[in-house]
Amino acid sequence: MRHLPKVLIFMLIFPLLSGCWDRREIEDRSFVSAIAIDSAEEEGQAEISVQIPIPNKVTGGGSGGGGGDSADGKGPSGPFELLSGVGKTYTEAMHQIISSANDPLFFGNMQVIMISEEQAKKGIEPFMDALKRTSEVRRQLYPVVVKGKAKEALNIKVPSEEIPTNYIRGMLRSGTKNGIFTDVTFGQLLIDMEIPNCQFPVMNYLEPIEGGYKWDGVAVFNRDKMVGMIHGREDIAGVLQVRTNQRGHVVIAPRSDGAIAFHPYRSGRKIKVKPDGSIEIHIEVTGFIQEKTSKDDLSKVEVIQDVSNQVATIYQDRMKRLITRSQKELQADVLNLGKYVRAYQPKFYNSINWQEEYPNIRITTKYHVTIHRYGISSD
Amino acid sequence: MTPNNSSQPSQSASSKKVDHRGSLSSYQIYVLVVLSIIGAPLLNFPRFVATEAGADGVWLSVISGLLVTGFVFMVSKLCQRFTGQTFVQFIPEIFETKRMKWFGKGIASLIIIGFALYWMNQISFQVRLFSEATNTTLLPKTPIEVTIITLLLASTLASYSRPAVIGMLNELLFPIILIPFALQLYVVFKKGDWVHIFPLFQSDWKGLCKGILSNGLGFSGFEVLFLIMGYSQKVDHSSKVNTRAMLTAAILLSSTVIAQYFVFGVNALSKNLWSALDFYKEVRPELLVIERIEAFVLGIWVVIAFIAITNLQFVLVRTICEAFHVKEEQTKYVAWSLFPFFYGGAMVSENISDFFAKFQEHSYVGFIFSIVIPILLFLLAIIRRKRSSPKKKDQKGGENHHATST
Repeated sequence: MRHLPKVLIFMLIFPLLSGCWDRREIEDRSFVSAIAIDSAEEEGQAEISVQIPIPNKVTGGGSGGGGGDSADGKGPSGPFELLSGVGKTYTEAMHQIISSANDPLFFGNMQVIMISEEQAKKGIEPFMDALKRTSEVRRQLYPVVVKGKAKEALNIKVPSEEIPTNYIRGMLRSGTKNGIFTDVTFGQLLIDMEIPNCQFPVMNYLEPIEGGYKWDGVAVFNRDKMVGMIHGREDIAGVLQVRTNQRGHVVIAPRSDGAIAFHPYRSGRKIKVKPDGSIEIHIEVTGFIQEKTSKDDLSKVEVIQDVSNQVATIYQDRMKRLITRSQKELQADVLNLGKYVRAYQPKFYNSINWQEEYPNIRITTKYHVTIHRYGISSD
Repeated sequence: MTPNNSSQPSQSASSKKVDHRGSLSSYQIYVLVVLSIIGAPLLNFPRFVATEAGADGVWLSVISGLLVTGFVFMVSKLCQRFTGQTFVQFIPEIFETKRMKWFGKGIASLIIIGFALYWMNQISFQVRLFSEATNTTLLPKTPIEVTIITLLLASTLASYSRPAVIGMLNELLFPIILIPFALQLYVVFKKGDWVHIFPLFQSDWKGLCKGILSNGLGFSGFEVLFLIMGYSQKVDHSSKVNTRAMLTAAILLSSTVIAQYFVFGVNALSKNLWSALDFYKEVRPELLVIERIEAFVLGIWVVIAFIAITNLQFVLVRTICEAFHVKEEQTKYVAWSLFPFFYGGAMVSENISDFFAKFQEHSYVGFIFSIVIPILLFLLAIIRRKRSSPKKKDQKGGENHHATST
């Protein structure tokens, strides 16, 4: 009897500890692997689609599953479900999806947010707001802009993966890890969208192709609207090296009797901002020679130096082209330099509207390229 | 590390008052102070600093930490003057005169009631804050009442333990709570950007004062010293121990603020309600077994919130018991009778905006009270040359080992 109060307290605590209100068996959840945002036919409305893998149809490499569910091309092309809803807001569209799903949706495993180019040009802010309020959503997932309809991009049949999202995730993860795709996650996107008067987020741009996807550069935004693109591997180097501090793609230096392929493996930048707002960017790129089709003798120091200078000039030209395009055509600070101006010259930054003044800012760049080694061949 | 003599009653305690002097070792005092400061508010504290202090919050957090450390040194010196006494016992001595002993008791009562109300507020707010965080991020369908009651049941159950038990509990949990702070370094290394903490020195004098004060709120909880110093084994070293504890808390708190500035920048941080959890969401650990470290961190945060609330409840219960000379075996009734007040205080706000507004308002008032009163007490103690009488001190000793039944 002496311990009765303690026993009663423990009995009271135990039912509360189970957290039974939020208990949900794993098989009673619909795991969303990707979400697609498209603009709907009706003005001011958007179509949201979610991809939900069907676990008992995923075979893990064997035959019998993995796609081919629809011979007419209308249904899902793999062991997943695609549910869509249309609405003026994300929540309205999602409500339609929820009411047609058999289990509650779980967004904790979502890997990719795909936004159609058309919708990206109209604006992404309302969708980002809804997503950032959902605690399940990871900040590490990848937001991407896709050519054409995002919903259709989720329905591509990829030979190497049963769920297309896994392919996209793997592609983006290895691309960003190798420093050749911009490392922009959902969390980074939210941070980029919060810098006052300097909201120029970027996202990777994918094009769905037969049997997969093609990375095609980055989509550039002014505030929440896509204003253009930086295409391909060549022009993107500056964005990678300055904005996200990544190394960038291989550079082919043409020689008199062939070419030399320079593979960067490290890149670093120093950004100086002067009181008048002009910016100097010093970029150091270190790499090795991956391929040589010319007769250059790389064992000679002067040849290595010559190739280094040539690669630096190529980078320099590309960067110049990129800056000119960003200032004249896109009028968007793709390198996110406003962040540095705000940090180092706050007086100047506060005296102007960076979002508008960016095209008039003087930007100079200087590259220094170091070739560390040239593979296991001695010349 | 553990006390060499816990306060065990030598005989049946049914009608004896147990003396807890000498119950807590220096290390236990150290961890108790640190864990009372690092509580649930840290889940939201960096966002609060970013909102209140702007870009300068990043260095003002360090300044505030140093100022509060200096202040705690002063509090320790004050407590050292009254070896083996808690603030309930020594405040009347500071104010009383030979003719008007009632005056000292009257003023002391007001001060003790002030501290008690402040701690009650802190407990209610911490419980609500932690419950809001878990319900928003982890248990959206669980009624908040359930989270609050569960946490309060657990902390109340622990709060009426003897000081030695509370000391050992803190000692046990201290290494665990350091894990999130160690993981912070990993997140900053992976996602931090130096440029996010600039531009510095943009605030005017008013802004700086506001920034220091708002950062200072993070150190609420150091007031537990007023009571636990009376249970200390080695009073002679207490100022050193307490200063070290404050420096540790300052390092942990400031590093959290700075780390989140590094990763989010002031603007994104000020818009992130539970920034401490989103902070860990920024990385995908490659070497760790756990895929989502924010869930792991939230698990540890349950421990942090529990121990901070328990410590505050413990101090409040002991204060009331000492003030009203409650017997040891009746301590639990005091603890349980306070339960409805904590619950009511936690549920008083209808929505989260109202909660934060009230939390902020009450915390400022309480913090200023807990700064001004000790300064006043310290000055009066010096001016009036008040300290434990040598006879008393001899009895209690520099090394306060007399934890026996009296």
